[in-house]
Amino acid sequence: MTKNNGRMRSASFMAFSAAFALICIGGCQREERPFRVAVPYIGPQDGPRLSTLQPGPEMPVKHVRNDYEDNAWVLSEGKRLFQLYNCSGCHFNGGGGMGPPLMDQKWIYGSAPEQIFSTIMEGRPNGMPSFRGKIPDQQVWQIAAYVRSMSGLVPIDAATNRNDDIHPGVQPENSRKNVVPLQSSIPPAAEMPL
Amino acid sequence: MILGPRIITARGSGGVCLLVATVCAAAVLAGGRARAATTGVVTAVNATSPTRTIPAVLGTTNSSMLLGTTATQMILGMPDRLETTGSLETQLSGTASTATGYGVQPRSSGEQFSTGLSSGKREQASSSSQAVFGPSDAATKASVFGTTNTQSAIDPAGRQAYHIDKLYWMYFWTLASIYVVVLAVLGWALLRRRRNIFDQEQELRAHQAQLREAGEPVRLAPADVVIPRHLEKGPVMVVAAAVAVTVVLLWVFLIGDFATGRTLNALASEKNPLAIKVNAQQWWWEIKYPDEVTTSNTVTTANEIYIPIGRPIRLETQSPDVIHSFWVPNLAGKHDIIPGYPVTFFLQADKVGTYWGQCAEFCGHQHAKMRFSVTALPEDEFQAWLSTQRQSAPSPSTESQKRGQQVFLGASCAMCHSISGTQAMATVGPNLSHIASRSMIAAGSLPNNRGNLAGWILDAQHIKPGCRMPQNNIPADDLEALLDYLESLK
Amino acid sequence: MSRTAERLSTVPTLALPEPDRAVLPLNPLEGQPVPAGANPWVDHENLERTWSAPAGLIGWIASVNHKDVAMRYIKTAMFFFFLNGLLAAAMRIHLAFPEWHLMGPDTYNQVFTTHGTAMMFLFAVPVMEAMALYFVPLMVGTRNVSFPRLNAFGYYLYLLAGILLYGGFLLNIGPDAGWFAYVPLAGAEYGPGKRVDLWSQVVTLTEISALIAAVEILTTVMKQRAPGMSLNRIPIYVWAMVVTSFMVLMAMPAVMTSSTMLSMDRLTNVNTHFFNQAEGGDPLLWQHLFWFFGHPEVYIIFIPGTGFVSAIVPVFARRPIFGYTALVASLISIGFISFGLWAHHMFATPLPRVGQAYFTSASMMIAIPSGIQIFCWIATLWTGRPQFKLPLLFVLAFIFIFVLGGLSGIMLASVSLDRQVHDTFFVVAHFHYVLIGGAVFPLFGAIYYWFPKWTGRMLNTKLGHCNLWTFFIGFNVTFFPMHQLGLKGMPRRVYTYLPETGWQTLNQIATLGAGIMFISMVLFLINVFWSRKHGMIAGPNPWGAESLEWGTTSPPPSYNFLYTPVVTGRSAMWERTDQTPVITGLHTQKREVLTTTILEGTPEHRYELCADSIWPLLAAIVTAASLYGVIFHPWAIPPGCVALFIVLAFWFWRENEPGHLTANTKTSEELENVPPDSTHAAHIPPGGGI
Repeated sequence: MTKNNGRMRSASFMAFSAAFALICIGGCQREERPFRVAVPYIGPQDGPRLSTLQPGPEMPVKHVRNDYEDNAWVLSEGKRLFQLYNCSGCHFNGGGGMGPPLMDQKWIYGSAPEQIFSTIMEGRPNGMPSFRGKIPDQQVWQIAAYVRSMSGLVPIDAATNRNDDIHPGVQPENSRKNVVPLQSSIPPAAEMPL
Repeated sequence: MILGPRIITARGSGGVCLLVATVCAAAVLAGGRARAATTGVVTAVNATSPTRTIPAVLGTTNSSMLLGTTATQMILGMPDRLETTGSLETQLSGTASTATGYGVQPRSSGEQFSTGLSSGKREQASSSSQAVFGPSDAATKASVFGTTNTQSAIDPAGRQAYHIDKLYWMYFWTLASIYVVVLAVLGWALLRRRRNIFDQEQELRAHQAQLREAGEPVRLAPADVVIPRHLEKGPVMVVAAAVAVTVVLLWVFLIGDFATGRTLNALASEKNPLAIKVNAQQWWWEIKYPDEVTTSNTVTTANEIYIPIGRPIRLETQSPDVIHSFWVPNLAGKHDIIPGYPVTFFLQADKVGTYWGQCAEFCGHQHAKMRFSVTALPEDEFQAWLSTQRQSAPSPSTESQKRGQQVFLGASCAMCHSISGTQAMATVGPNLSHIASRSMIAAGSLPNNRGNLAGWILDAQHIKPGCRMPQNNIPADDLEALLDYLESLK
Repeated sequence: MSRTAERLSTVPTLALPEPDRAVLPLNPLEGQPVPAGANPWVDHENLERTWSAPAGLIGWIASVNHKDVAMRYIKTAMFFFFLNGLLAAAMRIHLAFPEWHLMGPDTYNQVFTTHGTAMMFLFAVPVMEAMALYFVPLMVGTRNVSFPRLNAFGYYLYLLAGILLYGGFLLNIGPDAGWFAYVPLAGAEYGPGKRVDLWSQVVTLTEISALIAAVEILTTVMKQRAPGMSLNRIPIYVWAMVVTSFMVLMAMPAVMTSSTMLSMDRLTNVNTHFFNQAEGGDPLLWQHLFWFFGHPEVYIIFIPGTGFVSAIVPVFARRPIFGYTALVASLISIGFISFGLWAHHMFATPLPRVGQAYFTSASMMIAIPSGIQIFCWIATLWTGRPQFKLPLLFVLAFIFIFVLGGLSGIMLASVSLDRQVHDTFFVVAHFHYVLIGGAVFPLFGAIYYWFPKWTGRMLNTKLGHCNLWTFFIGFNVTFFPMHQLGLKGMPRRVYTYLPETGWQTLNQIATLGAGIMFISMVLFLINVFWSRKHGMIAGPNPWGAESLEWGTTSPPPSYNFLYTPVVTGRSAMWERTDQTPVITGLHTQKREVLTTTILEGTPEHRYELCADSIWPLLAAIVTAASLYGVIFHPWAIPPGCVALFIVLAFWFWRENEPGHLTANTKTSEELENVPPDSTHAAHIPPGGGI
């Protein structure tokens, strides 16, 4: 309507193109669906440690980063597999039962991704089975990510939502912080010095 | 460009439009009747008549189909399916060098197999499958894709689809006639002769001059505009008659629909239905043949339904996850399967043959490949099939098969699949007790042969990205043994 | 001389070399005298200063002129239309070859969901409402819509919704559960991430915008018509938009409610169970709520298309529309009946059979008023004298395509038939026939018809014919084979198919047609951009048309009408005589419009409209920011409410200046002397008036 229309138009066009370019360059990792992934390789040299004691000068521990912890689909797959492979048979929905609770902040064998991975793979005393060879690697990483999410260790926007089920309790079992679960006893033999 | 305005005279545009409409109608006609002709090379080479629906089992007549398919693919420049990378054995040994337990990059081995399987698909089928797969009856050695009418709603092979097909053609012809009539009337309206415009304008100008002299208000409309001042009785009656005809025709359609609906629902009250339970999951179909009397006779299979002809089938469907839809076009309409709404419906096959169905409600990543087949057999053959399925899976006989069974039970397979007679009893994935008797794997999207099985086991995510089958790192010789075992499970 | 030139030469035009608004078109209503004592030059200067937006960037953003806002809407909607076309082209290319994994299933799911969502929410409804926001005030003879700032607010919300959807798509957070997002697939468990939450908020934003436009149109039509324009004299296009607006008011809240319910189900901190069967909810509830909106939605898109046709056909048949009363009754009954059809989208679900029978009957019944409309248009053409100009050719294409789509809709109305073809490409073919045929072809016809009014220049005829024919042929080649594909068993929303199914040939034909349509759209864009600079100059009424928007210059000045004529019949421009009175007595230095009674259109009082304002933009930003935040956390709502409250306080702050202050501002006493009776040319106040 005014004489400035031409200027307005070119200015808005340039602003729009700049925004467009930025958006295209960026991306949203949370929403990817990584069906086929190369998962982290854990060799004997840098495997998970269960103890912080070391002889000689203390070397920093390098934790493997599970890149897909920020990924909503991976966490939802982990949740599905947690039920499917009957982890909930011992750990229930995180509150624990025969097995220790997974929702709290007490980690017997460590909470780093590679430590949880090795717990699942190797099994642990007092009842944790070894799933090596039984659950494919990629799925174990997904379950490990979900386990971390149960204690609120993943970004909240990627964490899973409730199931379309009858579920116990008021809130979904994931992404809570500082929860004291009902069942908090750990068998004494499972207590390890950390 | 020059022709543009010239063509668009009244006659020209009307004529061209009618021509297009006629061509479209003719195309539908042609499409409806000459079904084989629309599918080009593949069906033409196969030369099966459209109405004959006894298909031949995969593997017997496929040389012509191979040629046809390859030629079609080459002509159309289809990517991805024509790379031949040598024999299966070479590929397997190639894999062995990269299989090192943790940290294997599954992509490379999977890719080798996927390209292997795309070329191996047909060749393997023709060479190795005859003796291994499929029930041994001649009548059922049917090419699964002998004709392309095995998933067609207008090629009915069962009562429900037959009634719907009749209704469809009644609707089609009536509506097509209405369409042609409406277009004809429109064409006539546009093209009919009218009074000379210049005479009309002259009259109007003379009239306006008179009014101006008398000081009366002169209307300022353009000279070619006519504003009727009285009710135009002729057109009103014609429009009213058209509306009346519309109402009558709609009643006809309505009654036709109600009648067909009642006929379709009448199947539910017929005697001696065969009950089949369908559990639709993401992204496969679990099929159960329950036996209330002897529970151990319950057959659990996946993605393939066998039914006797001439007998109503009661399908009891449910879904534990999202909405799916059970649809086998040759036999019946579809029924959505909504979690929490178990749905029971009936169908019946009246012709022997294999009919394909597909999930018809968007259910996630692999909705496109959630297929299943319904094979209709004479009653005695069906009973033979059922009794074979009721038996436990065959025990492994050779060394390789025994090793394969150990691999199955020891690796991650037993975490999801079950094989009757073994300790593998998981119900998350398809039941593999008689996997060798199935013509397709992966929910009807891959022919069941050794190469495809291998590719599926190693890298299912390449074939069906997003499906529930994970990638597995199995060393080459273990894989061979496993395949030997699986191929023995007839 | 070509027939077009002949026709144009008999319609008097003003001899302007360039459409330049600084030169006052002395009397766009040819043949009609200026009111005695009025000085049109002064009136034009004052009005222009009063009604146009201030210069500069802020003025451009803050403009509340309905034409500015509507043109922005239209351009944005057409931009989204072409983006969606690219998505559609991607899908068609992908389906041309079986088992082609060019796009993975995840990407393909996002592509078809974005295509559907954007077409329905970001293109179809907004463009129809935008055309109405531009033309309805002109057609009823007023200067602006009733709530100008609300209008601008609606546009900015819509723009932010589009940015949200396309930005999300590019960031891989685009929705992927289909444009109707059935639960449980879109629910808390099976829809991980924030994709469906983003979809919910896009829906909420666009529906607020649609509601705003509906309110504008309704109020303007009911209360701001030209004197003498009783309710049975408004153009059929305006009736169509009235019916559409009522439908929007009834239907949009349903989808906003249901998408909000879905968001609440999915948000961890809210955690409701509306659609969770196990806790007493129901997945079918989603379908009912959505389709209660979804079916009227398609009529909300289709009825304005019929409005365009009813505007174009009389002009090019050179007679008023046949069957005015029947057409109005048909529009109203379509509006009502369309709310009773929704379950025909759910015939495959386990609904009770008796209920399904009712929906079958209603779905067939709605063919009767639609048929009446078609018959009335054909009767108008029959009894008139058709001129085969491009707008009419687009209308003819509409009849060919829409009638075919409607007839395939009758097939879908039957439960038994629908059981075979539901959720297949047959349905895809059907709805593209009725939506593209019933809405997009009339829209293009309307663009060719009204382009001279927007820009003062005609669109090129030769390019227009090429555009029309490639579009028509390309459309039919694309979508007709899909009927057959559906009958042969191809479901919809599949990212690929097996080669053995034999669907390849038909899919390739459809892809070829999509290529032809692409060419058509390119030709259209070339035509538009070329004609804006080099098209034939058009005067106020190049088509010799009947409705009131042709009674002002092309393009209209910011104040729409210099002298609004009194309306004496249904075809306002054709019924007026050289003695038809015009409106006088409204201020030229305040933004004043005349309000009239609802039924008869007699003047009631004068009403002052607001000035340009930046607050609608800020309110839209605040609202959208709050709704963007709700995607992630419900706590985005309270700060959003507080911020919105503050912005609204500024928005509604008592203003110091009504309209524009000018150097010629009169004192209040002088302004008070203007008499309220505005239909006589007798008394002209000393300061000048209209």
